[in-house]
Amino acid sequence: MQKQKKHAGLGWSLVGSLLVLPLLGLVYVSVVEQWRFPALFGDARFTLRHWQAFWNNGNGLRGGLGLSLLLSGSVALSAATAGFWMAGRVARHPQRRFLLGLAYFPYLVAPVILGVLWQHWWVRFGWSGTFGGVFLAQWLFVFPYAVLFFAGFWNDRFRKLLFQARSLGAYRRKLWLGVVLPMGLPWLAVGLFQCFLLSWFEYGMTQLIGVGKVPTLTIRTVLFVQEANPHGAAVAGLLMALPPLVLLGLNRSVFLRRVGGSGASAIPTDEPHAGPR
Amino acid sequence: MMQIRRMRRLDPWLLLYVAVLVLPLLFGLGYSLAYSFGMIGLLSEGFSLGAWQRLFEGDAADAFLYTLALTFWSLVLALVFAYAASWAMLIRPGAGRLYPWLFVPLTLAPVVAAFAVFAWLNPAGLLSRLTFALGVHDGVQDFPRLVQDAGSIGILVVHTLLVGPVLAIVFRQQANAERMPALRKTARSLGASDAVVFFRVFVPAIWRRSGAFVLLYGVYLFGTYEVPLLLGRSQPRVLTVYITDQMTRFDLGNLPLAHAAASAYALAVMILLLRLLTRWNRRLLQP
Amino acid sequence: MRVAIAFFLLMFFACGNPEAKPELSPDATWEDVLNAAEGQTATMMMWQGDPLINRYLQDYVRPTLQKRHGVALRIVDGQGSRIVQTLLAEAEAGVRRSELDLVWINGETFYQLRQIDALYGPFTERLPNAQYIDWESPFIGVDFQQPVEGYECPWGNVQMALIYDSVDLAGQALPQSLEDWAAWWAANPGRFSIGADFTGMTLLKAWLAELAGSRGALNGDFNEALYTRTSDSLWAFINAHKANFWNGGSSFPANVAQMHQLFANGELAFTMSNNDAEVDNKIRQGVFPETARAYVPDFGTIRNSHYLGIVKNGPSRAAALVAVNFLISPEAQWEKMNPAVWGDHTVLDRSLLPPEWQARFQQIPGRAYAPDRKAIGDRAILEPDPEYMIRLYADFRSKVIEQ
Repeated sequence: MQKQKKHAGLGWSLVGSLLVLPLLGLVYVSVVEQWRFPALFGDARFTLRHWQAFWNNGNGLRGGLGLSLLLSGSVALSAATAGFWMAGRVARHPQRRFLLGLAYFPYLVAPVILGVLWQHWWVRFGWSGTFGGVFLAQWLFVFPYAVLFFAGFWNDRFRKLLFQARSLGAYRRKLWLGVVLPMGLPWLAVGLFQCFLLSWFEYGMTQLIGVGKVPTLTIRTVLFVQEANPHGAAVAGLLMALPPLVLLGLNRSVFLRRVGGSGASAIPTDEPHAGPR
Repeated sequence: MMQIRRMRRLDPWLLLYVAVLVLPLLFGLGYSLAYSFGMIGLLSEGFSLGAWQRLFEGDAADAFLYTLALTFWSLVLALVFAYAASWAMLIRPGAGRLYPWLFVPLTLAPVVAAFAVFAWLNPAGLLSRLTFALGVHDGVQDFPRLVQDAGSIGILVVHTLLVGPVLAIVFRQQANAERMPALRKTARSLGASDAVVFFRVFVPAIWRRSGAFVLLYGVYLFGTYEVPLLLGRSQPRVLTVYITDQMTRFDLGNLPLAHAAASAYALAVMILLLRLLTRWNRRLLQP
Repeated sequence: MRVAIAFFLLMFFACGNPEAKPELSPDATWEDVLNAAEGQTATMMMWQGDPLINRYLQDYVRPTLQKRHGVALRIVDGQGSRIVQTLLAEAEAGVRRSELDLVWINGETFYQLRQIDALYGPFTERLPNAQYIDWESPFIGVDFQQPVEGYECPWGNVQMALIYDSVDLAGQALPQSLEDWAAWWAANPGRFSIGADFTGMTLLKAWLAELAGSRGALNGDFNEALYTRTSDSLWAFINAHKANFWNGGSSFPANVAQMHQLFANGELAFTMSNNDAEVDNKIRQGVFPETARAYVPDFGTIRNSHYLGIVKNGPSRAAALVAVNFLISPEAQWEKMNPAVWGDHTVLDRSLLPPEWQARFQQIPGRAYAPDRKAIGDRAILEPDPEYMIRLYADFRSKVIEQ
């Protein structure tokens, strides 16, 4: 019985490992060159040239990685902190449903279309083609997500707890340092990471608002695809998968409340088991 | 309006919050609408309904219908995947092993997932080479088209890959929250088959808890961009690709059309969301 | 609270629209230009669809410009229509300081940019190296039938060629006319396509001329009646055979890089290039098999030049001028002409060059696989009026792709 179960488990692991195929494909394509059909293994030329090019920044990939890290890091840090704090204010307001509902709007319109709608204003204010301009555009749809995400933290139970603490005499500073932050820290970590991914994965809006002058990793990837250089695209794609993979290895729970690719990639659920408590 | 007025009295920060959420959208939409009616723009010849009329004929309408169909089928496939996987994890011994793997696709940006699937499925791609080496077919001409194809197979594969596992993870959590294992045991002891439990209990219970969430995914898929950009055919295109195409066409006369399509899309999403938010109020708006 | 709202409003409305720098005086000497350019960054928007071209700019032009003139060149991706759209959006927003300084353009983009008055000029006579340019050539001094009038500077001169694999097509006659093509498609279904991009349209222009009766039939101003008549036959011809195209004619490669890849993998039997020497550099890169060759059909193909334009509201005008002057220098043109580097033919008249440069141009490694340039010169077709291109783009989409 035990053995049978083990076998079954192995089978399911095998099924699951199918989900790794896209990544494996990328790894393979990133280490071959002159890759004409039907070259596969015996007749393919293996090389580390594409990775060396990244390392020497010959193709601008290292710069793209740094820029992406800086952009997504700063968007995530500011949007998550502001979102955490704002979600608390929203949650304590009698009109919280209305206020929370508003956050869905910028967040669920496709970012590339937001880019189309906003392009004129960004150009007019001199923000297009700048790091700050792309930062602001991304922030404007990552922040609403952060509010929606952290709204789950400021739930009824927690608000009651706060109320109790206050009635026991805790003043504002003490409330934050003694209750909100300690309890919210795991939430903040997860929210931060998810905001990071939202920005990290974004292409369409960054391209439009950035006029190509803010060449993040997603933009580099598409450029490689356009010049029919699958090897460069594979390296860029793997670099993009790296931070989330590392985090996945460290702690799966950072993904738990997260949902999907980009855009709607992080709709929070309100389920008791869906997040860190 | 009442609500906003009341808010100002209560918390000025919230007014700022509302402004940050609403003003950019209003400004953007306002500009695009004005442009689409020919009221602004360097090459504008005055007010005109022309762009909006063109929106209801030919390829704009095609793009809309195609996007709708693609969204529907992507959602159906992702749901099938998620229900099947979460159900398997519930009833099959060892299927829990599947769970950690479900997280892997979440590390892929849509652009990267699309490119990876292209690398696998194009006629000169990995799958074709593998099967060619095994003697299954005679070369690229022989391999079926799975990307940039008439059935949008490549796009559906990526969408399923990106959305299916997420839903499966959520469904599994919901199943546990609903005490599904115990429920199933009881139902089985009362003589119900697994099929009955699945269709009568499992599916509706999960949907009740996560339908809103799934439908929000529908809204997200409706705005999909990078995946069809890389894996779609020249025609029909999804709305987002159609709009950006019109923005960068050589004929500058297409710009009002692009703005009309962008405003129409944004308005459609907002109306859809409004409907969702009122219908699933408790699920979506309860902090 | 008021502070916060004020801050927000400030963020939203205040930072925009920095003024353009003071105009470089019209009688500034080249010395003045060089001095002004030092330390400036010029942003160049260009098509980045070819790795070798990108490398030429990144590894040769950028460092040399930086070292020699202290000019930083920033390259951003975007061709024709995106350039127009970006500059149009700026014009509509009333912006006086553009995101771009320099653009790599072709005739139809030149025409549109002139329409919206986005180009600075005339500027070519300011450039010391412009003295070497072969202005007399109708393929250089005239762009899509429009005199360039100093508003754009020629950068390279190329002729379209079709690329095939001599082993793959061994024993087959290469299609020379539209009838040949029809027969070839019928015999080899699924192995031909036309890119829905500049290169594809350039092939269509040659076919349009063939249908109009002669290589010179499209010369002169845009002729609506001629276009309607010939393009109707062209679309009818293509649609009649579309089912024999790649992917059943239901999809067309988005760009020439994609076509090259399809060709390299054997899906397509033909790819094409606006650069007659491209086959050489693609073989060297290992992208194409060594048996790849290029040819120009009897009827002929478009020969044209590509140009550099300076954006009227660009913030770094001096740097842009210095960059253009460098790009048309004998040195940079010589480097670019090497098939191993790019293989783009020079726009300079070699007889005007200093003797040592004449000698060096003589010694450029020859083309190994591309057709002889002199020979294909007899089959060169002048670029027709830009309106033909604009209409072909739109009609190819509505009358072929969407059918």
